[in-house]
Amino acid sequence: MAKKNDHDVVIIGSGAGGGMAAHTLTRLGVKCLMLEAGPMVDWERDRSLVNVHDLPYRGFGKPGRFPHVTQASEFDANLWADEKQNPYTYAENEPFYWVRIRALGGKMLRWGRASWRLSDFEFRAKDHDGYGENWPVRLADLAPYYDRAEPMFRVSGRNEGLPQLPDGKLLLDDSNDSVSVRRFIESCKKLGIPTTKPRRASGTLASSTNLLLPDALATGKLTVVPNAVVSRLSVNPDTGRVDGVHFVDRRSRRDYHVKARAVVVSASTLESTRLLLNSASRQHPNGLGNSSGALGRYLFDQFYIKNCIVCAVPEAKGGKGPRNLMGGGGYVVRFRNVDKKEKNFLRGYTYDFGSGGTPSAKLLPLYGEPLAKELENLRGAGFSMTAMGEVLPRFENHVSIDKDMKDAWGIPVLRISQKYGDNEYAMAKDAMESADAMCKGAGFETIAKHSTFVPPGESIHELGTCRMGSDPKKSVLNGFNQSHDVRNLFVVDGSSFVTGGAQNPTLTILALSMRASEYLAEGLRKGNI
Amino acid sequence: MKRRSVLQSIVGVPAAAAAMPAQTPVPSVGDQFPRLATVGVETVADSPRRFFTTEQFAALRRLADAIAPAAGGRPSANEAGVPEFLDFLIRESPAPVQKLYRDGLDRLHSESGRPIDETLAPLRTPWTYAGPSDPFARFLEQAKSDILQAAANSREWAESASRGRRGAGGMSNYYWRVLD
Repeated sequence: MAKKNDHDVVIIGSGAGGGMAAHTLTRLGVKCLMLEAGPMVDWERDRSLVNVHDLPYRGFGKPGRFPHVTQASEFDANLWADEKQNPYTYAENEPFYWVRIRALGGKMLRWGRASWRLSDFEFRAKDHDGYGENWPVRLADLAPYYDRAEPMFRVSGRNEGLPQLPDGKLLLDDSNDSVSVRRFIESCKKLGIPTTKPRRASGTLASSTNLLLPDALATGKLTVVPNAVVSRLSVNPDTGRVDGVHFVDRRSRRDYHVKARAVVVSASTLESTRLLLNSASRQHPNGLGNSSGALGRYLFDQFYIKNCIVCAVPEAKGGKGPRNLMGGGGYVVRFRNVDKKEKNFLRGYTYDFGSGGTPSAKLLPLYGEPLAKELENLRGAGFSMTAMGEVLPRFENHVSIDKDMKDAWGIPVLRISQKYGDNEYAMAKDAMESADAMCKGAGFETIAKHSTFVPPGESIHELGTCRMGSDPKKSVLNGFNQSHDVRNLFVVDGSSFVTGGAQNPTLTILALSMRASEYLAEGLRKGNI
Repeated sequence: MKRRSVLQSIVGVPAAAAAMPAQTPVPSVGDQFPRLATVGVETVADSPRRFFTTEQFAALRRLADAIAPAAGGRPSANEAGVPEFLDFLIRESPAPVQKLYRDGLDRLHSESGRPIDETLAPLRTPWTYAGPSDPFARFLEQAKSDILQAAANSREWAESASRGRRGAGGMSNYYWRVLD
């Protein structure tokens, strides 16, 4: 039976970072209280199979409901955070697409599951090309935690021995490639470009709700409270340390407070920073733990060029190809600026590629019967690539509190400012041209290509704004995701990233959270936190 | 009407059954809440046109027929109720989308004396990510996409796909209810 204030640590958020913190801390004997802003999700009760023609808007969704969540369909619209209840602002003509889920499990209910390690090309980026800052950790520091996180999430893939894409503890994916994929890989080899299998968490559901929280609850040391919208952290006026958490019940708007010996913030990249900025006090006038002025700064994400090239595999047209011609996909590993400095940009990019499917009708300059015939001709003959590129962390890309607007619970909202720069534009152009060369080498016919990013944020890989670092004057957190200023405060989500590479960030969030939580548990045991 | 007759008309109990002197024990499965068969509203009812003018609606029907005529055993966009659906969807849409459609359909109507293929020439130019700068060409691109999606997601297309095959045609997926 749960009791009031019978816990050591309050964990804010239940996604990758919060889920792993709960899993790690409780197994080390630490009593935790988890506060999740959204409701509990019941996969049996809350969803059912429905035909698209039985939906009120035939699958289009209610117009204007999600101006920034292009991922939301009419089927899953109720799962994404409501934009009217959770507003934010940005400068005119500089849109930021902030994509959120407020429910137990967070965005892990919908993540793409791609699970790549970062390399020392990211952790030691400044050493490599002189730009920005290094992380306070190296791959060698995080590798033991990646080693444990990958089996927990049943990550499948194939190790390649590449320094820019570290090997992992993977379920071996040694499946045969289709003929079209083999042709594409051969084309890449001739261009000196490495490829590999997709590397993904497997299983029906790969979420904190089925892989992390059940074990944590089984220890008897975790209490989970849904519908708890955290508004700010309270600070002991004598010590300047965090002593509790203020939150609002999502449904009743009634406000509450719980005490804490330590707080782990993992509310998602920008929500965590918003919370610290909203927790300013006499001791921390510019935001909690913000003596450096870095809180809110160095926002970046990963740029996406969706379907930067769409091709047809000629032999597959008209359904004439052999059965093993089409299907499957893979990943093009970063190849720019690895062994030598090249091109007119820093860092690099990667691609997901897929064989099969039918190119979209919008790409074909046809209509009526000729369009129907061509779509039939191209059925299953498509090959497409999506480019994902590293975005430089820049001081001017930042978030701040917009004092003129509050959310549905009376909490001041974020104002977000992120623009891509010359480096990203140069990289995008190169990515499109390289994709074209790879596909041409494979003998594919180009139907459409482009180099236009989706708006900042749409990749759902927003990172930074509460970054780690060795220097307390330039960073918010130390090498264990612990606040430089407030030693019982930890932030364990994507906000702590210093650089992001082009690899999907979730696996690194899991590893960082596990490492930080072990450090916190040891500190609590020794009494020095 | 006598009380017993009123009750019978409400609950649908046959007079003979109502007259039975004692109840037969009900199997436990009878206590489970049954999943009753229902149909979507578009199956049984029409929705009146309320947004487009008569001329705009006629132009939309002409456009829909040009973009998605009946083909390969599938009904046309008009047979799939696409113009009526778009009248509803655009009525619910943000003002810029409404203007794009209204202006585009007015232009189509004004050119109703020309062969439709001449009017739709912008749809035969290669695709670009940025899209055309000309508002009428932008309208045609948007309308092409909307007409094709509304047709593909219609009950009529699903039924045509399921004819002669096992199982139902059309796309289905998990629908998430409002979380509370």
